[in-house]
Amino acid sequence: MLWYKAWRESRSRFFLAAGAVTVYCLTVLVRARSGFPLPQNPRVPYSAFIWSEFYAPFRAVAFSFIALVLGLGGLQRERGSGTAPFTLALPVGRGQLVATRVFVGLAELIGVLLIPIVVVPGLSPVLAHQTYPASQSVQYAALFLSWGIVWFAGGLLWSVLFRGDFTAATAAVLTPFAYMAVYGASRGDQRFPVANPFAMMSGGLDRSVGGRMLLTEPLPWDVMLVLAVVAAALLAGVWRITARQSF
Amino acid sequence: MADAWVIETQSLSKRYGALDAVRQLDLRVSTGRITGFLGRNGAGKSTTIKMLLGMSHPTSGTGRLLGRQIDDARECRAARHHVAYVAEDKQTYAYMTVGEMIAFTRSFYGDWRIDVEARLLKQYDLPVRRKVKALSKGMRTKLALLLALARRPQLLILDEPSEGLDPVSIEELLQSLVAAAAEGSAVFFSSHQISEVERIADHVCMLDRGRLVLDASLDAIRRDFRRLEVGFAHEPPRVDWPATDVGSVRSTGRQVSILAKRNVDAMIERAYGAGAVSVESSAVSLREVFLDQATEHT
Repeated sequence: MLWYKAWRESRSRFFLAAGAVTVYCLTVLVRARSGFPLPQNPRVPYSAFIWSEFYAPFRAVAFSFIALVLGLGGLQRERGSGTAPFTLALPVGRGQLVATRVFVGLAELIGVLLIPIVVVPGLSPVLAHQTYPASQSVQYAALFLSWGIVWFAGGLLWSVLFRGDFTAATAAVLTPFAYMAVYGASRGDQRFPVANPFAMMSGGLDRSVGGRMLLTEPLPWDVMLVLAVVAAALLAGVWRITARQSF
Repeated sequence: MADAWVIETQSLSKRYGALDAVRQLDLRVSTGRITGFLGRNGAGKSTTIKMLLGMSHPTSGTGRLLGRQIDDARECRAARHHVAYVAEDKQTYAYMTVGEMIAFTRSFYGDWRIDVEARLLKQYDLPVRRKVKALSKGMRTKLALLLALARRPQLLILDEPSEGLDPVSIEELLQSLVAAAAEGSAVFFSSHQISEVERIADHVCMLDRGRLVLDASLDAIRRDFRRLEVGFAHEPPRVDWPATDVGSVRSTGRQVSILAKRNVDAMIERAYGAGAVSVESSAVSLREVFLDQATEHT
């Protein structure tokens, strides 16, 4: 039943995120019905239009915030609400509490990512009278997920480090900005382009993406593996810190 | 006879910065008894309980809960299977309904008793479909008690269980604790209400500023503890009362008030030997002992 607790604690954030993404998807497709091809640039293909609306770097930033917010929660938050003693008196380990929170949170993150995968290819013919390949949605979702798990783990880490809800949320919101500030200051774009999260999430590592903004090369599995390891390291940190905390 | 103790600590200490919340605590709570855990606010009772349950890590010292090490996460978790706990705050998940909270808690314990759950639900008049956040403080306390009492644990730990309850509910709670003990559960509860402890406890442990200042059965307190009012004709002389026999000594003018823990006759003799002109011995209540111990170092 720990999963149920984790779900109940985070479901409002999930529903909010999922609702916003769904509404956004439907709005874009309905708008495309009358507004596509773009009057100012009729030669832009539908795939590029979808990319600019869903997978461009700015959209990747928005998704990163969703991932960070879905990562918030845990025992420190319970300390604030006074339920930590009840939870910690249950015959379960702290590792189990963290693991459940992670699995439920990642499931929610994937759930949010599934919405454009289903809505864009599925409803484009109906709402926009256009077609968009599902394989592209899946590949972009995989790119979003690869950094999404890092942001998610970061959000959880802030929640473990800071007692106050507001402090953790503020730290979470500032994280992408701080990361990009450090990345820019260290001239990361020239020295380490693969470490630019929003470029990677937007398919920037695929040099053949071209004007149609369709991914044609295989996904950067090596980079995605590294990101998975980074996320795992952050989550291991969450577990270690939680195990040592006194409540 | 290590198994005779459901709780056993050795030099257990907890420090928060410069504050020693618990100091060198050697505590033993035996099986099959109701033990009252007394102390003023901030004496270290809740901190001790949290360390026993693995919520807070000791700064030094060790302890065993149901024979398992409290500083070993795996062993402590195994012990918690057999411990029911009511926290000081009595907070449960505000977003769940009473029914969901019961179902959630029930899923963790094999010793859950559906019949007791149903009886307590009726007795406490808890609305199953109402969310916890919509419950009054008293109702929340009752829910927390139900979640602990609907089981048959080896050990019941309750931190200020009667706080927020009306007199009728307190009476029902005390009866429930006596019933739990009769069924074989050891009960360890902290309270500010000395009358509650006096009514149902077999044994009393008292903390003051993190130190254990009293560890005795109520029978021993009633039988052995005495208040000695010693009168002198002149300024009382300095007498070295045996530390093991004396709880406290206070002088007011030519009168010396002594809380004797044991060997009362020998102490009376010693008082007369020191020039006392009168010695009056009277029985003491647990309240007197508590106030005496709690105010001795202030």
